[in-house]
Amino acid sequence: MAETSDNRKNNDTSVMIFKGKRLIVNLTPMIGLIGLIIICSLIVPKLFMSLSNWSNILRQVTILGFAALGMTIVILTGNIDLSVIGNVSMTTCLAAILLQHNWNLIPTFAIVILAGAFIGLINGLIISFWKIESFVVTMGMQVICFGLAQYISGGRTIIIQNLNPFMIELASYRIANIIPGMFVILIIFYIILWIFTRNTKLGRYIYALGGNEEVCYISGVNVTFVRTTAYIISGIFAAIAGIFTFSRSLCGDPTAGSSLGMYVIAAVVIGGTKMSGGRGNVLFTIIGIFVIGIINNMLNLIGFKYYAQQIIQGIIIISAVIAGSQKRR
Amino acid sequence: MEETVLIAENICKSFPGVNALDNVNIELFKGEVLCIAGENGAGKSTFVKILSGVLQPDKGKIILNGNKIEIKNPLIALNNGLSVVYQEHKLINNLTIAENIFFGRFPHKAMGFIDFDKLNQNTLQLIRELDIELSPKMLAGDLTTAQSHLVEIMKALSIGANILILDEPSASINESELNKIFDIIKKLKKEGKSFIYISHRLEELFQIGDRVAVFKDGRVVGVEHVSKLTSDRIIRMMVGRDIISNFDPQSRKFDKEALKVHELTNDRVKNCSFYIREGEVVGFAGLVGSGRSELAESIFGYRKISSGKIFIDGNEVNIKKPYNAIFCGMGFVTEDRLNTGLILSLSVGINITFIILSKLTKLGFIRSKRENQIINNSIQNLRIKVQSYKQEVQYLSGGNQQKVVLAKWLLTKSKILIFDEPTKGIDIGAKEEFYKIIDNLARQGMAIMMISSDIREIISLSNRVYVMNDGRIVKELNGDFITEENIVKYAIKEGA
Repeated sequence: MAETSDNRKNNDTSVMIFKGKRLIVNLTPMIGLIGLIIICSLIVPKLFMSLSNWSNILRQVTILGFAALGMTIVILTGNIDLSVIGNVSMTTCLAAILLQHNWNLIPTFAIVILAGAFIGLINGLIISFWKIESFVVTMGMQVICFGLAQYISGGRTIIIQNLNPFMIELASYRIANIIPGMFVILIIFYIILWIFTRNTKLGRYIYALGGNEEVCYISGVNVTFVRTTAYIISGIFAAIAGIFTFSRSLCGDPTAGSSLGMYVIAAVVIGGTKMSGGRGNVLFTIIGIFVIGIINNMLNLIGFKYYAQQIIQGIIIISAVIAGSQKRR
Repeated sequence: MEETVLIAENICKSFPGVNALDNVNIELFKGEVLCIAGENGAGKSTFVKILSGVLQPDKGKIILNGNKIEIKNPLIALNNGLSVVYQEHKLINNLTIAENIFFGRFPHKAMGFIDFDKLNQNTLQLIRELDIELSPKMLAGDLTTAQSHLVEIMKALSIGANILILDEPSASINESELNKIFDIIKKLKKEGKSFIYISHRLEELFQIGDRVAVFKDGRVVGVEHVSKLTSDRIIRMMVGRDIISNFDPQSRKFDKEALKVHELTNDRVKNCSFYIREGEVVGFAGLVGSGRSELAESIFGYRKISSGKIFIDGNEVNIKKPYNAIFCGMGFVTEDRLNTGLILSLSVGINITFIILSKLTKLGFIRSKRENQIINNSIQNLRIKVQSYKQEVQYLSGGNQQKVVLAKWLLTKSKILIFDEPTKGIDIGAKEEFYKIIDNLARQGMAIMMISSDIREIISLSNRVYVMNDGRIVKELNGDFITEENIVKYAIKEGA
């Protein structure tokens, strides 16, 4: 309080500095990623830069990539979706149980994606109607989803006989034996959503909602609709991540989603999307998933113990976010 | 000879575009109540903030008990015996009265534990001294506004304040509570404490004041003994006489009633009825908190209404949310452009076309060529100064930001436009420009509702003026009756 006028002065100068450095700030995630790659290739040059290792990295980041794509949309609206990892578990198990009952692929996919979307719908409606913090609502929903996953699977990993060969190929097919097919699908989705956020009315409302909800409401925007749509998109991509999780492990594991943990949000934030909403870029989340994928890959290559890996991951994630943030004061 | 305790000498303070204080000289004597009167924006609050260390003056000095001091922060003010009782509740609700009074200065027992017995004892002593009916263990959250003022006064006394500044204490308390506060002020005055008392209500100045200083446009226009003053005299001093260019509102041609509001009521406004014709600017005057903004928000569906009817072009409409109002042809340039007018993190262009986006899309995709055309037209028409329409709106000056808000609403082709404090916080040049724009819009047949705390602005632009007081429309002024004296008279009238 005492320094109101001083603060104002400081803000003005920081705004001016920010203006000049804006391009640099926007490019920080990219520069960080390139730096990370250079460091890694210096430490273990042969192993890290081999084609098979990169092919492996691409495969490992894909599922995280789908979950983080939906999360980016929700974070752009200024909300958060903690239910994603539960949703992945639930949809994996749902896909497994339906295939175990010999459902065809198309109806299976349809039901799984609808189920994922339904979770998003409920999230969006509860947050909008009761005006509750999205953090709390989606945290509850995460627990519900993990519970549903256990219920669907009967508490066990679902194993399937005579699985449709397409499901086996889905996650393991590689173009020219190098580029995983599912990574290509991921990139296509990123581009579609990037165009959606940039060039459509709804996409613009998503940014605007994160920027200032009151202005949206006064300007006649149906705020509930926009927010709920963002959550539905998040739910759909959680379901897609669920389907790929199933295809990768070829079984329905009710705890599958928990391995994604906080990586989903970390990827979005490392990509430069602001947790407060309204600022960010869908494509940059790809950088985020690569940073996380490469760190994990690298720690495995070097052969750190599991606990050491976690500590180092945490440190690197925090450093990445600090590097990407503009200083507050 | 009276003993001077505080001298403020040549205090100047300006904010971007506004000269908030211009060479203010004030003297305060021991054991007196100096009242400060003035319109909204006259600089009273800025002056208080400088005395309390919240703001720093650009120029000038403050002399306390004969020594020059620099009040760099509120703590220094407190340590020098200067305490402010603010209009709003500043106590911590979930703590008791005693805890609030001695917050940060708790008496301790060994081991650092708080000595609650002593705490309550000390508080009780203060309460007895002032002869008030309160218990030290009451929660601050349960107090009335008047009671919390009393607690603030006790807090100030417990710190050892010699000068107490009361910033509009009467704003939300009733007559008998106010009298209680006056009794305490009189009692403390005899003990040699000095008071600076700020109020809009003129009657109070005569009840409690020894001298009155009148602020206007950041200057002190007069300091007089109460005995030499009358209400009329103070009003004349407050209002002053420099009028901005006249737009000759009476030469506008009106058409039929565009908006008619009948007996609108909710928690903030009571039985408000008025109408606005096409082609006229209708001013809404009144003090801050008189319900003007709330009335506009209620009409626009931003605030729920409990009863009353709204007619547009003679047809009753049901406005439940802003979407309905926009659909009915209303626009609302809100008072707080940073919180309700603009999306600061987005570009000028996106802000301008935000409301009409639906008209610019094909299958949900935005037609960017058409959009850019519209944006460029708006920027040119309103002469908004930007480097590019892609510039983020937060980097524009206040006046240009306000133009972006206006551009946004003008694109909706609304027939009724509400302006809430359209020139708040923008510089003089931009103000003139805004007046011309508003005048032109009216002459093109738009119905304009203009809320403003700048009375001269209202007078030079309005065809008719509604004066609001305590949530009610208390007076409609027409033609030659639209004068500053009349507006001020009805705006500050007690129990109207």
